[in-house]
Amino acid sequence: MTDLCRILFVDDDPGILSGLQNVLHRERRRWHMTFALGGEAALAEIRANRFDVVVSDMRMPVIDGAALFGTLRREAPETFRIMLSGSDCEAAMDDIHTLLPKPCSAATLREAIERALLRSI
Amino acid sequence: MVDLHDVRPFLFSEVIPLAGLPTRQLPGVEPPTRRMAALDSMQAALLRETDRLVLRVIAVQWALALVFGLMTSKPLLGLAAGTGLAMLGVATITTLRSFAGARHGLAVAQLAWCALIGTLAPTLVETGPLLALGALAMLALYRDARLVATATIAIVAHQLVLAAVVPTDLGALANQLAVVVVIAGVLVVACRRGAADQRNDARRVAQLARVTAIVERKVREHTLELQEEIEQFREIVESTEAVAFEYDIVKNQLMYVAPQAARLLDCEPADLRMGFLLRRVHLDDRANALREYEQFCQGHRGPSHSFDCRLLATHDRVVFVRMHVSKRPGSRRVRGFCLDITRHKELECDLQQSQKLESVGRLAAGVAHEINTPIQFVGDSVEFVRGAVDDLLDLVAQQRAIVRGVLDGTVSREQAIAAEETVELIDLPYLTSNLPTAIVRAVEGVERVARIVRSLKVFSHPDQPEMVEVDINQAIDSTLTIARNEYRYVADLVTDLRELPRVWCHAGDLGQVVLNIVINAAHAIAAAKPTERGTITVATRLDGDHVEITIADTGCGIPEHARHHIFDPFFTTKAIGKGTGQGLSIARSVIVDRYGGTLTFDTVVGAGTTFRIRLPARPHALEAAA
Repeated sequence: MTDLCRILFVDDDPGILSGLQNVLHRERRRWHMTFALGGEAALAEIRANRFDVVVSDMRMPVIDGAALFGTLRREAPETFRIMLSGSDCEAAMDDIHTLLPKPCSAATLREAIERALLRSI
Repeated sequence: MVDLHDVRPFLFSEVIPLAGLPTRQLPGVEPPTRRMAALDSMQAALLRETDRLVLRVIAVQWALALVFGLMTSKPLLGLAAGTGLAMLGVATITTLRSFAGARHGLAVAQLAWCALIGTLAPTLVETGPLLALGALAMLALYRDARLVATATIAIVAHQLVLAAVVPTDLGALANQLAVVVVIAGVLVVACRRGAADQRNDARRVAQLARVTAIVERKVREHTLELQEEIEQFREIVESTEAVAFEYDIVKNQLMYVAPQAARLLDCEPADLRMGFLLRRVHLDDRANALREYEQFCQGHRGPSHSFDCRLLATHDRVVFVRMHVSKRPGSRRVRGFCLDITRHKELECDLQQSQKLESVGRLAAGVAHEINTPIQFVGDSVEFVRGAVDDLLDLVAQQRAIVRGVLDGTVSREQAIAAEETVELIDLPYLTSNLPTAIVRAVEGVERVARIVRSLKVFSHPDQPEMVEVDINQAIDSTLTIARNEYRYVADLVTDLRELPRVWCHAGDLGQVVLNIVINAAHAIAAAKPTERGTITVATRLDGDHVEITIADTGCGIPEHARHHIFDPFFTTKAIGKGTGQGLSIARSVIVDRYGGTLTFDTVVGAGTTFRIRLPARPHALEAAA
């Protein structure tokens, strides 16, 4: 299990998370995927575990994507940060490695994660 | 017009200060000769009058003398009368030609008559001197001492000649002469005094004429100045955009209308009468404009008032005007002006439109985000279902082959192992448990998108001119759906929408008002507690004949100094670029001006603000009208 790449998905909409979980289920043998509902849960996750890639939404209540990535950058700088968002992310650009506009196809997301994993290895 | 202080010094002083006055003179009158001219004219008048009197008296006397002479048939008397008449003729002609010496001739002729009567009518001898004195008195009317002197000399000469011819008592003669001389002396003094009075009168008349001339000149100058000023004012009044007018309430008549009105209405200046103008008021505005005007005239609207209405120019061009009227208390004249605010109205419309666009533009981003989320998971779910269906079809194909193999008796164990491996590969238990929910989620996502798109329709009729019956709750619900992105990250939404009658309005207008207030509420909550979520409560209820919408937030409240300005256009407490200051201004204009409702607020700094919209619910009235 430890050989699996660890990926964290963060969104405040459970529908998004379930969709991602379903569509990426095929990768379960290669990736260990964790799904966090909202910024606070995500923060708890990244403090408890190490992740290779974090894919997060931008606009979330209380702790948004920018705040999360800011923290992540300070606390786990080796983690690759992908923003999956439909809104303006100008303010957080420095903390984002890859920006994927919502809506984004599963193939695009998969490809972005693959590239991130290649870089982070 | 002319101040009396200007005139008084000229009336009461000899010296008339001409310095400092414009030296424009009356045409044909020179100041130094003015007094002489006045004197001459007075003297001439006096002479003419006296001449007429004296000539008449003398003519009557001589006629009597002639009759008397004929009756007594004394040839000498007839001769004297003839001579006297001739002298009179000469005297008359010369007098009438105003020959200066002629009156001396008259005097002598008159006295000659007296002498004649005295000499030739012995019965009248005693009256002779008296007649002479009477003649002397009459001649004194000329107020000419020289004439009196001539007459006196004539009397004295006659008495002396008479005394030489006829034996006379010298004492009585001296007595008579003394009386004549004394009376003559008195008359001379009277004449001189009369002449002096006449000169004084002439001087006064001349002064008066001069003062009159000055006064007239000043009046003319002031009149000219006033005319110039009036002309200037007229030019100013008639060169502005505002059409000034004046109306007499009692006469019910327009006293003045600035000629720009003709340009404004594309008509002839002669057409600008009350009836014509009233007919040009837009039919929809006529009743209201008349009511406003009449109420103003009756004093129910204060000393000045303004109202808007539409006028029709030719070719059905509609002109928006703002009428400002004012009236002084007790006055019967209403003055006012009328401003063409068509451009203003157009801009107002544009501004509202642009504000709406701005709101909608900001919404578009939020809506995009709102739609993106369901689209994202609908896409993911469908993708998952597609992959799962492929996997399941593979599995089904394998299992079909096994089934066929069983029936044929050719099935191998390897086939069954492969199928079981496929079950594990595609994680059949996962698919079994997640496929149905993925499909449900996709359907829900599509429904969410559909709801957002339906909600946008509220804002999609900005130009619909007619009001329609609107379900307020539905309009609010749609608005809140669209605005969800504006508040969902900072606040929870609580709605309490009670049953309401439908209200005649534009759903888009109302939606925009609610949207502006909800966005403000979200900003207020974000400003108050950046890390804590607040609550926005939207409630509706029927209160009597009004529909009440309240939008309450738990935000920062409105600071004291801003409370009086929040409805002012372009007033904003937000950072530059964050707000244009038009949201509440337009909200107020929509609610108050367009729908006759009210928009009020309660606020507590640090605790929150509640906006209260009250709209008249008039379905019953409308039903009754229909």
